[in-house]
Amino acid sequence: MITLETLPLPTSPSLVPGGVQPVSFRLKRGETLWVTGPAESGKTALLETIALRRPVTGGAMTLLDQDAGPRITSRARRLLQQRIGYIDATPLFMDRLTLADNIALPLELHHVRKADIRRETEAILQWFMLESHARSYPATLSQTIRLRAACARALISQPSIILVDEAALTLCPVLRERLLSTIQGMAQNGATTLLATQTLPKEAPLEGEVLTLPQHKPSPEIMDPSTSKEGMAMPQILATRDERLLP
Amino acid sequence: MTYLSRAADRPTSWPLLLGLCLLSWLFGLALSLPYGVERAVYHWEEQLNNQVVIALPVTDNGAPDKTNDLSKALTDTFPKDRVTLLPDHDVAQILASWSAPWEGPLPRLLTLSYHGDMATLTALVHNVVPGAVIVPPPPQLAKLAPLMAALRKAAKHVALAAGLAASLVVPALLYLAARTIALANRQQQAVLLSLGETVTALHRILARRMALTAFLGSLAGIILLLPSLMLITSALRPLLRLPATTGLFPNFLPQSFLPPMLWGTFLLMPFLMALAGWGMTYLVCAKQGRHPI
Repeated sequence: MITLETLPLPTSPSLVPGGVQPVSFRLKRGETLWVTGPAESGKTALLETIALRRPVTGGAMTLLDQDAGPRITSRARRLLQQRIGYIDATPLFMDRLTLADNIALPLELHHVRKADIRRETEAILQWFMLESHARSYPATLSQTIRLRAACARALISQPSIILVDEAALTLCPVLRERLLSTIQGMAQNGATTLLATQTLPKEAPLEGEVLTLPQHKPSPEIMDPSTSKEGMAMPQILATRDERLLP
Repeated sequence: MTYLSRAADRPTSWPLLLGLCLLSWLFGLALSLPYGVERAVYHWEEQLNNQVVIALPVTDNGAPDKTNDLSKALTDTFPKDRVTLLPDHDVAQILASWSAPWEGPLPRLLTLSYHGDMATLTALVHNVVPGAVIVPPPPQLAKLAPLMAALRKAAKHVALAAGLAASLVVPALLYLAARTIALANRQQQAVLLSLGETVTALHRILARRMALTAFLGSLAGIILLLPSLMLITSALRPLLRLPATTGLFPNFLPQSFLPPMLWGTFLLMPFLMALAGWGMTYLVCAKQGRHPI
């Protein structure tokens, strides 16, 4: 369902020489993949590439058995994107629509019947505990609520591929559990899921394979902690003790 | 109203409305000026006495009447100058205004609207009727001719300058307004693209709104142009010896000195502005759609 073959992924040059790592994996229908790794290891870049928001510059990628590589057509991209639910760290909303309208937007754009839209929206608002904010506008809401709304919007159309960035997994435990159990239900129905996080949660209700980035181990000179700590000098402004700054 | 119509952001449209109103008004004035001046000058010249009068000597009984010969010679030589033999009662009236009641037989008077060299005309007339008296038109027209020419030239230059300025500012104003609309809806466009939707529907909504604003702004300018032209025409009325106006739009169109084609252009202008606004917004939004956030 998702196949990546030596897909060049940007990453920090401190982790991979040259700042580009080739990533390869294969995920079948209904499988879940936890993508872990330190900051700047390319987790978000991987999700963005699969969500077709980042151009594929090399290698090969197939999504839902369709070629999504460098030569993907705009029509194919559009059709694939409609089947992908991506919960990114900084979700964008239409500021002139209420939160409920924003969540219902994918169904509205797919011309689903009004009654079905209303029913589905009310259900998902309730599930993510967003009923009190349904008539509010996104610009007036906190980042946490916007993240919850992004989860609801990504899942309302029951996508075939679900991509969850780290920010959504830092929601309060109750909500995180609800999100993961919803994804688990969808995975049982055949949705393929990728979740990006720095460290695996201890009691995650969603089991799956783990991909640690960078895939290829960096050279010892780069990763040797003693070298990096000893070779790094603390900025002087942090080292100097200034009595005037003390309370 | 669809979701997209509600989602599309509306930046304030007052600057565009006022700008297009002013530019349409200016453009209308620029187009009207040369036509108006040309027609007004022509109308004025028509009112002036530019007729050359040729008085034929009174012939004795039995002498051949050379009126027809002269009339034919003049018509053949100057076919455009409308040679007219005045009837007797007009001749009597003219002579009465010159002096005491005319005694004796009335002379024959020929008139023609001649603007050429008087010596040529005199030679031709005296060749046919040696004793004829040629009375040239008053010198007012000759003195006014350079002024009229300068007036026409100035009107054309002013119109060209104003028309060029308006033609340059209109696209710039439409581009700025389209860019503002596109930027205000950048996020909406990015959301649609991230959901795998086309943005053409959103672009059409934005272009339609822009077209409506441009149409209304231009229409307001044209509506404003009407009283402006009326004011100018009524100010020129005494000078052009036109009758005083009555009512709000009394015989305005026939006496506005503007050809019907120009009025058609004025009526067409709001539609042209709307079309230009629609196209500009669609192009700018489409260009932005290729490079979203």
